[in-house]
Amino acid sequence: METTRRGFLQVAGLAAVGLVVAKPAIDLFSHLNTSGTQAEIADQIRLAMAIDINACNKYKEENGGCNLCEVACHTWHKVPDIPDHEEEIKWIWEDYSGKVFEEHQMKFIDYDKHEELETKLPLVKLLCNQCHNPPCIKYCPTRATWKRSDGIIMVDFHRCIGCRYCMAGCPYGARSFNWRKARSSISNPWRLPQPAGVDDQKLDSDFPSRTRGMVEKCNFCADILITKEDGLLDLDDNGNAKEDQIPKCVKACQADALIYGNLLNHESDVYKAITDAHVHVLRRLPELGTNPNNYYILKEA
Amino acid sequence: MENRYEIYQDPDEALFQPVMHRGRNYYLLVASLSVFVILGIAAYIYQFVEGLTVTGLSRQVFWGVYITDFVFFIGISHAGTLISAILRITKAEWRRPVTRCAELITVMVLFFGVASILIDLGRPDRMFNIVKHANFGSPLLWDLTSVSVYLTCSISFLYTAMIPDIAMLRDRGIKPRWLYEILAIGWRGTERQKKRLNIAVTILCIAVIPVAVSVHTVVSYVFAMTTQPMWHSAIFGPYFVVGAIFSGIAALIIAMAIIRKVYHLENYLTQQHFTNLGYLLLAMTVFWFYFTFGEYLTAWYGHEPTEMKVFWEKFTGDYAPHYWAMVICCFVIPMCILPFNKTRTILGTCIASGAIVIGMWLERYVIIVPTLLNQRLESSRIDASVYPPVESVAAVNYAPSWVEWAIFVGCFAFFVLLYVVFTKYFPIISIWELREGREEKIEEVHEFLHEHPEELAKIQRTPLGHVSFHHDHPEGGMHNKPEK
Repeated sequence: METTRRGFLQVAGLAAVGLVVAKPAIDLFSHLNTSGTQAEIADQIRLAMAIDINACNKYKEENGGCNLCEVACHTWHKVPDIPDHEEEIKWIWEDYSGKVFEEHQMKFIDYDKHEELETKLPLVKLLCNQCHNPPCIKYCPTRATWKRSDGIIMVDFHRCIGCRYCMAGCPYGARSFNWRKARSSISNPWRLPQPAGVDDQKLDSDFPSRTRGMVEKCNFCADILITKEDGLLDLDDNGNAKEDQIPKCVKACQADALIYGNLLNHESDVYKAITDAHVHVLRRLPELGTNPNNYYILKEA
Repeated sequence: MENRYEIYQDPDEALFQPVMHRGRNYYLLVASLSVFVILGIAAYIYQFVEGLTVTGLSRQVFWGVYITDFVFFIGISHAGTLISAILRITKAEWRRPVTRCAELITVMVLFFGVASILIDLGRPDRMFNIVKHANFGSPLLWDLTSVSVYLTCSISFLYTAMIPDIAMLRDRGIKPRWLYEILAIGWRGTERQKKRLNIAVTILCIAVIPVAVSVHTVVSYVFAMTTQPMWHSAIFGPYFVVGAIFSGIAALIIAMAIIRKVYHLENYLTQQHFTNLGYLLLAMTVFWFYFTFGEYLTAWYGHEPTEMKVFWEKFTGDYAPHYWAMVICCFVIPMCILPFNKTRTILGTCIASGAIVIGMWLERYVIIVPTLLNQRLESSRIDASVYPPVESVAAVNYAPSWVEWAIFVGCFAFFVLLYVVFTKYFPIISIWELREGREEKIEEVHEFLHEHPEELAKIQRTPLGHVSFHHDHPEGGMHNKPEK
């Protein structure tokens, strides 16, 4: 068939219209945000935390217990203190390593004494793993939870409908649901003036308190991290957080058991900590393929 | 005025009776059901104000009765439209009096399936976020899509197949006239209209089957797509579909038995219908057992520690009573009743159906709760501010609270209420389809006699002397049909 000029223009016009329509349609249905800058950020920054189990437990033993990181985090983020265990909300907490790393304990456990041993083993800090391949965000029907390009898994408190499907998706139990109205359980929910001597962190927190019926979890202190104009985080040259942007739990820790920074920068403390030749590095449930960004360090005896 | 209907002697008068007379018993039933509905609504308002803390749910078991209800109600809905569509497509003659009660179950119960999941939301005021910020990667969105398509199809299906009957009501001048006039959309029963109606019904029949299968498949995917122990199973799709049809048929049998008794429709809903549905139920019992067996044997043989915790929780643990009650209700009782002619009576199938409906509710409960109780890391609380640390773990368990039960009962009562009210405004048995069946049969007999004059002669020699095709039997001249 001969191509007339008219026919060619018609086809070209249709193709142009098609492209214009198709592009937003494709964007609308693609979840993966692969636009240039964000992929570039993901190539340069991956926030991670190393948790030194030995240092943490040694400090506890020496000082008759310690939960400074929990207090610091929960105060800053206005996590309500609910006495009822079944409805508690926690961003950072602890459990026995025998339960958390069950598969690593099996070899030396006498089965009859399993439970007894389990509780004697050291405690490990637990918080959201900020997985590189997070299962939870897939399930959210409203995209109220998503992954930032620097690796932090966020929850939008204004969008969450409280279906709790992300809790079913998270194999680590990192997500908590607000079963009740909890403002009264928060220390200083309304930023009222505090009596003298109270930790000034409480006064500075701009973090919003949550209503009943939504899911929340650790956000790697995304609320105090500063993003520069080029979209990258304002980290120092070695990939560590600057003094005013160190996460509350890390800052509160007196044993230096929590190490935080950019895993992709090989000068960072966290990278050095987990690549140390003299430590064992564990991650929670690596077999599920979630690729957690929290690394547990066990020093060789 | 009152005698106006009397002059019009219709052979199917019994089918119009429920629509024409709304007696005292009806209003009493509506009132008592409304009490439960109001209780349910009150319980929900209480929950809405206080938050989900009023339920028995916890950070360990965060889904419970509401999600069970969601799966259960949507399962029940598979009785109707799906069965009706399959029977229509396969041209099973006995379907004619059954289809409408079945389709009606689907439509009415689906509302409560959807409601259950909305009741479960922490922030129901934000539910439109699901549409506004839809994430089609989430199995919940697949559910939403599939269920809304199913609901649309089922409503259209129910309504389309009802137009000629609504026109009959309109022509009889039954009140409220305006309602029937609008809904009849000018049906006069012309050949052209009939042809179009048949085409529409056929298209809907074919469309509704894959939709119905998809609905319960994606309901199961809500669980199967997670990595929770005993949920992450490829068998869940077909397992849930089979379970849904299973509980659906059971619900249909119960509904039919009640309608038959209350509206005196013994001539329409006969033993034959219960026998046929009983066979179907028996087949589904075996299917259900096959899937359950396959599911648990695979888990047990593989012996994965996380799965085995859930497995033993069900077999010998806290949920053993629920689990074994489920096995008895869904398999043992039906297998004692349904295979035998002697016990497969109307009462027998009803007992089996009742057991199955209860058993299938338990099945969903047993799928959801034990898994959540045995997630990979059990939730506990440790106070590390002292050394050695103090563990204060309350034994985490799940016991539904009165609010959850009240809402469940409210939903169920509301379903029954809608169903009952519907039967008082529209005939519960499809009259035009019954008549169509009769006419077809008369046609067949005529044709047969035309082709075999010797048979006609034989009949004429009988004492009766003629073949009579009365319209007074619902099965329509069936008894006069000569054996080939």
